[in-house]
Amino acid sequence: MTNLSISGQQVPLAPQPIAEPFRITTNAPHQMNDASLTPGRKKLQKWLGRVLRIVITDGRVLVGFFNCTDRDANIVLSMCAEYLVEGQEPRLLGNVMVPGKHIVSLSIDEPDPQSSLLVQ
Amino acid sequence: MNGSVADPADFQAATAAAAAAARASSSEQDEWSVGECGFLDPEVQRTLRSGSAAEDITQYPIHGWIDVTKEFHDACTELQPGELAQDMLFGLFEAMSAIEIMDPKMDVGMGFDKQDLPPPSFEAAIATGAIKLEDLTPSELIGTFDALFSCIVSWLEGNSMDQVLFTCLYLHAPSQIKDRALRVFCTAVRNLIVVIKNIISAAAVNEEEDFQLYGNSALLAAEKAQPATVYSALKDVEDEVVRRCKKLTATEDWMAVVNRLRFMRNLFQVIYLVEQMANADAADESINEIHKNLKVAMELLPLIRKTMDRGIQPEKGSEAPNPMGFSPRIHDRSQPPAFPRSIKIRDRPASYQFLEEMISRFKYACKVVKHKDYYSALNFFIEYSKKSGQCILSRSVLQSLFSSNIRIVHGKLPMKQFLRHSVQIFNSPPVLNAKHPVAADPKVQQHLENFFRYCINMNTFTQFIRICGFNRARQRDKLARLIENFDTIQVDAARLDSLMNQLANERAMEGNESMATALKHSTHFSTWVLYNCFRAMLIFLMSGFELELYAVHEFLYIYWYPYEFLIGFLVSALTRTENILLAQEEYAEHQSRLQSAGAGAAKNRKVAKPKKNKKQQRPYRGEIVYYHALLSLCGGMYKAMGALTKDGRVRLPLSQFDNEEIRYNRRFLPFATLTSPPPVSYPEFRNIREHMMEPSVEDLYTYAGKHFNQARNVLESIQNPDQEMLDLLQIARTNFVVMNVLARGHQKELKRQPEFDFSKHSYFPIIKLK
Repeated sequence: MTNLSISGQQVPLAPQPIAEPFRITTNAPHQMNDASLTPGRKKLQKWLGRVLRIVITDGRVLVGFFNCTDRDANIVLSMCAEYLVEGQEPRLLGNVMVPGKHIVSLSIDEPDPQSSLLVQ
Repeated sequence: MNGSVADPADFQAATAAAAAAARASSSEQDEWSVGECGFLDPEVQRTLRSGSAAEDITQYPIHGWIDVTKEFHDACTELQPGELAQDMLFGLFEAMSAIEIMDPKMDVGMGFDKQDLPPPSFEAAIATGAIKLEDLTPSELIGTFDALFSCIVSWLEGNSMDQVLFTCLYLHAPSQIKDRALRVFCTAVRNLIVVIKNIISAAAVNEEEDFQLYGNSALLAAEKAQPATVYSALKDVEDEVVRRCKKLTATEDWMAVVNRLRFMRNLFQVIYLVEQMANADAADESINEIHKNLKVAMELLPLIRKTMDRGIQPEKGSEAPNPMGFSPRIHDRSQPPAFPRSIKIRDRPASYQFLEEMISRFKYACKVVKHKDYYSALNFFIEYSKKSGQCILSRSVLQSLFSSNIRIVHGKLPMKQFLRHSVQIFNSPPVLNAKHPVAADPKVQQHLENFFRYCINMNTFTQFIRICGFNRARQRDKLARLIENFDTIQVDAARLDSLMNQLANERAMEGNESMATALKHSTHFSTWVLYNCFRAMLIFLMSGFELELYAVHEFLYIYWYPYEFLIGFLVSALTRTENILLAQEEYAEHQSRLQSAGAGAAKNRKVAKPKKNKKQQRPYRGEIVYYHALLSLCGGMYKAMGALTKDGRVRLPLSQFDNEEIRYNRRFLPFATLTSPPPVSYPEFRNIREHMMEPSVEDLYTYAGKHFNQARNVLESIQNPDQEMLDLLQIARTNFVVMNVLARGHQKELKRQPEFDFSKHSYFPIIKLK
């Protein structure tokens, strides 16, 4: 009982030991433009705090500020609005957690890269 | 690189410029600017997201949705298990307050189909003919009434009024119902809601998990509540139905309707009278009236239960408690988002069961009027909480009865007077006796006045009684805060005691012997305060077992503290009090004998007064015996835990995660501020434990067994024991046997942790060897 073990076997260490196993990627100023971030993490960092639209398996649409996500794409939105039918009056839910398995599609509110190129 | 933007006019422009510049360069360098990442200055961001109109989520999208499903999922897979990507303003609070989408318990919006029609409202239901407003058959009435009782019960169990009661469309506008019986019944339910809400909010012993005080009040406001008229309206409609019955041949169904109306009338009257008690003059009469109504209601219940199958029954698989008149999901979308969605309305038999139990609880609560002093009232509250602690309405009714009870006993006297009277009854300090020569002394009176005013200002004693009215789980943290309050009152009581002593000595020096005897005073006031404090401490510690807060390896010091200190203090406080009372009684007898000897034979009647029986002379005997039993049980558990630990049969936490001192200090945290009893530090405890654990394991088991045996002997000596005593007796007996078995070396090689079975008593387990 002295060492952490599962069913009597020593758990093999992960192939690449990670310096910070519980690291958190955030858009806090000191972490911005951290060169060591992988491209995916950089993307998530960019999207944090912006408005996300999620369509879930039962057809509802949730729109809210993107607050948090993890490996399984469970997503926390704040100030979330729930639309039964888009364009109709929404219901305001506050903080919600959307399990990744119920997500059908995701979109982010940002200028279309092509159109912004046209403007320039 | 941003030569085009020269000399920005202000900070905002500068930020925008920087963002624009960064955007221009980002495509090659794959870096995001601060502005682009949804990140602004934290202050700006905070105000933006505080719900101001500027950041109305419904205004989005500003630019247009860009689908990122694939990109997003790919990005997420780069995260490690357990790693989060989170906004800088996101913390544990936000995480905990989030509702989980597609979780049937939390997500109200789940399961709504776009094509579904909205749930019918009252008007819509009438228009489509879904509900009848007149000519209801008896079985429709019975079904609707039974369903409404179920709704009331479900509401009292803590569900939201909107989600249970107001799913009944009839309640939305009773005045539009043409059927008289149904109209009056629905009006009664609406008035009942108002009255119950008043009682519960006045008693203020509710927590959000007990009761939903707030609902859509617009629904209630539509028709004015007139609780005073309900009783007679119900009576009238009852008579009308009975008259109609006389012309019919088959009357059984109609009589079932009448019984339900009658039951509602009596139940309503009870609850209404309780509400009115607060400002009634003749409270005794009200109590009698309440009793009478409770009795009738109780007698009606078997008749009602027998006829439940005569009503229309809910459809299988439907959420509605009755096929007619209900629209189950009508308020779902108007509930606050974090509201529980799946509500199970109690079935009919269970609801009547609940009502029957509630009526017995009300009957029991009425007994509080017999308890006319703090000591016995507190005992009653503690007992009531153990037996009836689960029902919010019963608890609130007790509070209203009690606070009006104080007024019944003493006219319209305030709590201060009640406490004064209570101390007098508890241990009768001579200065509180009006016959004593010093009672009129303004100086003494001033001190007493100050003390009792202080007790009231600190609110400690009144608060203790109120805490006993809360649900069992919430009592504990409230007690923790209460115990801290006792300290200042203890100090004050001790000061008062020493003042009284000093006065007595002064009078003795002056040679005023009779004054000195009258003032002869021991630690009356501090004993009273300490006694109540110890009780709060004991309940606090032991409630941890009931709430299953303690780990097995913690049992040792939890049982040790009452064994070594608390119960001993309680017993000595009570014994001392009893001795004082006995001495006073003897003295009084002696005095009256002296007086009667001097007076003529004609006045001899007073002496011939029959002697009070033994029990009254020793008012605390039963409680002292009970505490003796608890003392032995705690001692037994303490030593048994010591023996089991030494024997290696208790699972201990891994040493690298363990710090017993921290746990110990946390468990006794509320006691740390008290001066009396002084807190026991962890090192002191460790010494005591080391000393206790010195003997061999076998000896330790034997010692524990001896304690259990002692407890058994004490408990067996009680005449007419109640159920709790019998349960404790069984625990003591079983544990005694188990200890002896272990002392003889049973299962010596098997170092398995025994099972601690708290099913018999919430404070003491039966130790079971597997």
